[in-house]
Amino acid sequence: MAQAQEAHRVNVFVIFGWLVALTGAELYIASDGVMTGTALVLGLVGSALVKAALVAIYFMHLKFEGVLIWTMMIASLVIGIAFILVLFPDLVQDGYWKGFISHLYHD
Amino acid sequence: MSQAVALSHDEGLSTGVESGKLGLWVFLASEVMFFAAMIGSYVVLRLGSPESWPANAKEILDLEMLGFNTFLLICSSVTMVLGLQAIQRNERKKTVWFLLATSAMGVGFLVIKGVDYGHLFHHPDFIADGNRLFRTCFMTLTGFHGLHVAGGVVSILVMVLATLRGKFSAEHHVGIENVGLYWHFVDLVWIVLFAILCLV
Repeated sequence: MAQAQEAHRVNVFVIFGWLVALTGAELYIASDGVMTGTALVLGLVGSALVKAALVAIYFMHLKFEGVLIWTMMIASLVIGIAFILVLFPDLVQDGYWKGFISHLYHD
Repeated sequence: MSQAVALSHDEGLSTGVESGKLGLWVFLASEVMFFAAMIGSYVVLRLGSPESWPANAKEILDLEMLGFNTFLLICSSVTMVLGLQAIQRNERKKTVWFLLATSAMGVGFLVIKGVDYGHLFHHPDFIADGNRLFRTCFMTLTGFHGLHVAGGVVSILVMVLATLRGKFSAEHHVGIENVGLYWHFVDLVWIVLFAILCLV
């Protein structure tokens, strides 16, 4: 445990650096003309997920938690994502997704 | 009698996690689902009605201000970690300063958010009738997140008082650890909101 805490101590500022760098990258790719459409959405969501994982694993010490906490958090995440996914077939069938992407290209 | 007490104590730790901390994780799991439901609603509304989102949404939202707010919350997470590390070394004075810095950044986040709201409600495109869905999603998601930040600030200040009264030590600091977990979660939610609500 002491070793784990020591490792955590070393990582705080490295993780901070990554979080700031990724935020800067997000602002850059969201600025006019750098990225549009699907690439923009995937880039931003991907970066946000990496940042969220860094906070959860290193700042919230999830890295050092046992199976119980991991199971609880993964279960709630799966349910949360399911909330969104169950509505996707309807959106895809009606072609809303294409409208959303073309809207982003026009921005 | 002492055997009975020892037995009940062991039963309380049978999960391997301190009960207060386990309770906090259960609460956070419920919060994940709460925000997932709201973010899910936003995604569905946005995909279903792209025309309700103004083409100049990024110009309406002050991205520099929102970006600075993101930076502020990330910094506050770092000071929260440093505060926890300080109490683990039994350095109460440092703990208090790190916790105060964390709460100050939380207050800063809320003040900037308030100023941002003030600007938005004077922006003709934000209050336009055609952008009602965009406005509602933005205000609901950032509003609920703001309430969580306010709750976190109050909790941190309570921890500051408890630390000053000598209630925490290197051996016993689960209160600070739990408030820290909550604070990092609030930071995590903003990281996701900033990307999908403000930048997309």
